[in-house]
Amino acid sequence: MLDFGKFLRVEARVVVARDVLNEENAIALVSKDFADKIGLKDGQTLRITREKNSVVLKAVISEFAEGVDVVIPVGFYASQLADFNAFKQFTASIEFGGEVDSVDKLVNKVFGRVT
Amino acid sequence: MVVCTGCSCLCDDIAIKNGRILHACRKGIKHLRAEKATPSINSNPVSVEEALKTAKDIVKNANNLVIFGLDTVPCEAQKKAIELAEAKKAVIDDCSSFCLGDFVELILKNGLPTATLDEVRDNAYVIFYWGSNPHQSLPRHMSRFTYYPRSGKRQRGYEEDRYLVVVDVRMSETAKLAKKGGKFIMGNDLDVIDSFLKALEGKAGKHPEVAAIIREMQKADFNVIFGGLGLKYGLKGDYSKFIELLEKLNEFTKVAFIPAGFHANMRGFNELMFEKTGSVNAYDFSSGERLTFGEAVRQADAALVIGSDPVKSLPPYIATRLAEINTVVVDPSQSFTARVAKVVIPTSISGVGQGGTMVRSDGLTVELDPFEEGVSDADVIAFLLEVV
Repeated sequence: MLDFGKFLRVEARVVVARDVLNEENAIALVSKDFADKIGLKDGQTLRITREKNSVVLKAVISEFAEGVDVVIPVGFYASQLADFNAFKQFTASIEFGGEVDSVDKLVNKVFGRVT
Repeated sequence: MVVCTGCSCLCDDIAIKNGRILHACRKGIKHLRAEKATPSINSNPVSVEEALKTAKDIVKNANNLVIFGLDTVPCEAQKKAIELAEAKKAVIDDCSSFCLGDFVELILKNGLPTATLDEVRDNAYVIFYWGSNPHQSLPRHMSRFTYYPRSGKRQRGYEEDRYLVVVDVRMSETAKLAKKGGKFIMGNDLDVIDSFLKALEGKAGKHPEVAAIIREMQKADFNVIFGGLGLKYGLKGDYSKFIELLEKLNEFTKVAFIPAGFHANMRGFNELMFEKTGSVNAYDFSSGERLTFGEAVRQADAALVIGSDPVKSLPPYIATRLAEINTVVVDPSQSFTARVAKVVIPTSISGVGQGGTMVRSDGLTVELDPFEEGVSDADVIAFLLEVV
């Protein structure tokens, strides 16, 4: 069966929040409502894009994203999308992603080198 | 007993026995067990002396220096850094300029009524966490100071003597708790404030459930609001409505405000800066005007980052810029910023290998009692100060 979900690109309300145990993990908490809306299953990957920056994170359907669409733990991944005008909350576009981004991959993208 | 400097709770009951850390929360353990930094120049390991010498040259030759961080180091190191910024006519800033510095400044200017965490533990009945999720940001806040303790007038603890209110845009762990035994208001901060102000005038707003909270507050002679980053950004830089709410609530019951959810000694830095410059952060000693790290780094030719990891927590242009200029990192742990820095100077963890004082989120000064020998941030900054 054809999966049209992978062509989907939708706007999402994203919140950046503390999550001590997950701040180094490439994950995004997704509300059940939003997951149902876009046909997302737990563990699938999402490309989250804001302005020119994007990250690919593994989706975890969680009650702690209820009220918004997506919660990204405070840390390196969230920082790739935020700016001082939208530090805690922003709108981003979401599409089904490919391989989850590693820190080294992002560092390489930002600095042009892996340290 | 050791003081944990993992967050602004500054828990003073941590014990270390045979290498095991006792009583600390997961955040504290992570902080105390962080991977240690090694001295380096351009990512190549060097001796501490070589790293210090190169850092000294960078500071000496910098025409446009920016100093950033300092929220995790003792007041003694912060004082030295402010001294260095003044002598070099540099910009100095900490995380509070995009964190909770505005609330601390309002408190220092007597714009918001406040209290100590000990007063909260002994007296508070209605406890708000507004735009704050202590379960993640201050894991022992509720058990040591607010919701769970049986203390003073509140001997029956959370079962009967505390009423938890959470205001947040999403369901958090703390909100889930409030939903069971208090009130959780999910919504926009300005709408919630408006609902409270309307309820105080006998009218109904967008969140009519606030009337029940006001009735609970009237039962007690002491209530508290802990405001976090969610509240700060929800207010969009205009604190007037929130100040008005506190004033109105205090006309019929006592309500104090304490900022919640920042680094161990952010308040210490804010107080020192306020005393020195009249502003709690973001100060340009060359012009005497406000300038944040985010703005200053664009023009800087050198950066001294102390006890902070802006590459991890700030927008990517900051990381790119820090990689372009001469960046010196002074930090106990191998941070993301250390990856891009020209020079890395390791220091000891505050409270473990270096002593001094820190200021808790409520303004209480806490003495650190280190239990091992180490390099202090104050000594490193004093060494750099020799160039001026």
